[in-house]
Amino acid sequence: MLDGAWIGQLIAAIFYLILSARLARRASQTGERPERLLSNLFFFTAISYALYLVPLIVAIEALWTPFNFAGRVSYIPAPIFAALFTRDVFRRQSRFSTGMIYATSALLVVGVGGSAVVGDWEGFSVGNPFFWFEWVGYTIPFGWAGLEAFSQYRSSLRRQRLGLCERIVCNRLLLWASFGAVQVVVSLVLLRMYADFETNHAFSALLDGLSGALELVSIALIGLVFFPPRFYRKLVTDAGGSGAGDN
Amino acid sequence: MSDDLFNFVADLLEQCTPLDRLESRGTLRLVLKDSGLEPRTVTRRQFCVILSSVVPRELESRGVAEAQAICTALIGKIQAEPADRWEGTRDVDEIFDRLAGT
Repeated sequence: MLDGAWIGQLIAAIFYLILSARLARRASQTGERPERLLSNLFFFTAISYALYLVPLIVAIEALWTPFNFAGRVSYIPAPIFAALFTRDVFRRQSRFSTGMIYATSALLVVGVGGSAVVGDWEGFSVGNPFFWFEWVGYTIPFGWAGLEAFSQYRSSLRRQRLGLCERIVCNRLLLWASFGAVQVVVSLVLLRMYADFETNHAFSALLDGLSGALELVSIALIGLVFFPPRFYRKLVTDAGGSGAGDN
Repeated sequence: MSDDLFNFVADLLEQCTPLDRLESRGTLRLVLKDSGLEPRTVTRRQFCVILSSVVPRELESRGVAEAQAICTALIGKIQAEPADRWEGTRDVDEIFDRLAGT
């Protein structure tokens, strides 16, 4: 990662940690599982990002490999919690969902474990077959989350017309779908970055900057889902005038 | 769990109207789909709303007399059931409403 290009990841780590704490508090208040699952998702994401950043911030090259591996290992639960959230909220009574969770878990464990066994501790080697297990394992759950949320968003527009769903909730489903889509784009950018790294032994400045920018987009989307400012609520609520669904 | 709610309402509709089993279920499935809902996940509150607003029109278009009164009776029967009877259903909208702390 280039000088300064990791700023987006640092901001994301701090943001996700704060969000995780807030969701954990809310989960303890409501006793509900979706909040707990999201809290765990963002906690492990934050920890993983922080571990990736340590060798960059302290500028000690010897720490690069062990901290990268620790970052990969600590990220394993995050996509699994994302898949659990999708199952719990969108497809609770579905065998497909359960299969997705097992498949995600297996892909991540085999991908990270297998690449370590063959000596690729950092997981940058696109030529290593285990890389693909891991990549698919952390990409599919967010793509699935995006598709399920987008499908629900489309249904919610019909519910909104009947007054069954508030406009701001419809919008929140669209934002969550967009977050899933952005995560998939991040995965694709990382794929290209790792391919470049394998060839040139350096990260592309453009792609590094792009991945940082996408992290900031993710933060913005998630911020609007979980901490929507008053002006944004008003903007969304007023957008459709006084339709049947405006409560 | 919520499929039981769908079956409960569909059975009542079949008993209260000249519609046969296939017609009553088909009518409800169409109404749910048009309302952005699914038989698998529809909640008691959502079912009551569509029974008061959408289902009467659909029944009338199928030649059912006194559709509004039938739907009002169905809502009464749903509400008369114990509060926890279909509590296993998760309302996606309610979850996404709650996530922002509203």
